[in-house]
Amino acid sequence: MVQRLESASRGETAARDAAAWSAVARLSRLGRESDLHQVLEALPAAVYTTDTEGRITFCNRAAVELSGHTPTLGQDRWCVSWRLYRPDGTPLPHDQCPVAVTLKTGKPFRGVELIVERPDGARCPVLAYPTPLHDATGRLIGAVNILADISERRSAQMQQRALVRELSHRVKNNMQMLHALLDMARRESRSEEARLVLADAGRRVGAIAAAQKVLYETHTPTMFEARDVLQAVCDNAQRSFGNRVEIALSAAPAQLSNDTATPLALILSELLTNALTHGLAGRETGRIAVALAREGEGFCLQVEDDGPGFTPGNSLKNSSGLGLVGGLAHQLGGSLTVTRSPGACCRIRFFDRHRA
Amino acid sequence: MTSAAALGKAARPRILVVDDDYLVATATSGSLRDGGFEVLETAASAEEAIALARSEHPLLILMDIRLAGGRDGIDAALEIFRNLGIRCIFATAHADPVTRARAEPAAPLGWLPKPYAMEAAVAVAREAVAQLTESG
Repeated sequence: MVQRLESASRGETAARDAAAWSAVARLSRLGRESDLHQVLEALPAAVYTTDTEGRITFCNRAAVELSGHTPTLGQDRWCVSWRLYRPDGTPLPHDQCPVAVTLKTGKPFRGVELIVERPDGARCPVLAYPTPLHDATGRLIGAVNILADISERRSAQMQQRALVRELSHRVKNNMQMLHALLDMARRESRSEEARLVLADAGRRVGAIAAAQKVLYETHTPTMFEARDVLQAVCDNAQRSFGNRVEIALSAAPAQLSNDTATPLALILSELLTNALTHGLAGRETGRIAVALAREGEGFCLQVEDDGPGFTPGNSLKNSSGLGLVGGLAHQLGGSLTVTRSPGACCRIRFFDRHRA
Repeated sequence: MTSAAALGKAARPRILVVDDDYLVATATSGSLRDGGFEVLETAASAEEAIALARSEHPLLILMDIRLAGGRDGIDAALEIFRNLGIRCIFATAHADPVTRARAEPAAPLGWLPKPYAMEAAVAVAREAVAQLTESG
């Protein structure tokens, strides 16, 4: 989301630049320097020009305001700023700044990110647009640079990040409270069946929470990497199963749309619980192999244990366990099949129906 | 491994749960108790955690990072470790590198990502006890 905003805003800046520059170029061609300076003074962006040696020959009011000091024309070189830093905070010597590079190479830059420091120590993030200037014969006569103040955009981005972080924190805390409520109910229950049902519900909340966590931490706003969600659900199950079971995951790279995340997480969680119940029956330790592969237009999620195998029977009709898996697979436009190989092997074929 | 006996030598290790959420603290404490721990009265703030650690001297602490009041769980953990040598398991919804680096001087016994399942809290606490027992 953040990246999208940035590129949109860059696009707008570029359009503004283009309009301003065509006006500047027209006036330059006419050779009306005082008119040109008037135009540059009127621009809301910091603009300055240099000669071929980098000595500053003109700077507008916005440039003085941005840099916090008035450069000595014909003497100060390369940049109007007091001090310059790279975006990572390391100092950037003036003779290595984008204008210096432009004068050396004759090539313009479009939107190099820098940090300008004023004499009072205040810092401001900017984008620099240095462009070489040539006379009618094509000879280099200097450079012009625009410094666009992007501090408002930066602070909006920071605010947006803080909001997402806060929202994610709230969601996680609410999930944690759900876990706590279900667990308290389970421990207070006297019926074994109620305890089992509540434990299952707790595990499902855990799977949804694991998927949510991945979605919040993914940088793409509408898609997620399938492996990340599957891994989070496996980790969640591993923590709850303990060391008795080894869960191995192998997943082909696959970007899925966000709406697929929760059903997929729940399906895997159910299949893992199922593999633990049936696959480990009576044994001390066991292994569960989880695999995601592409299959034609869709995908195949496979969960295989090394136990004695089982016959699904009526469980496919229930609204929990394999019944739930079948229903969610249907929601994803797919189906569930159970085979013996010789342990139980559950396969879900599904499609990412929400994909744009 | 569900009974107190399974903890072996360190039977009923004393643990302090620090969380400002009543439900989470209650459920976690209950699970830890069922898992063979002696669970102290819950602390809901950094100040309460520091006071209880000083008076009750638990073997370990399960510390939530975001707490009610001005100081957070890392703040409390650093002070407790410095003055009493008691180490923490940190429970948090955001274990980013900056948070981890801040907690490092308190020698964390483990990290429990929130939301956690109660079995996970017990498993991590048991691993922490094993770590403490091994290191003597």
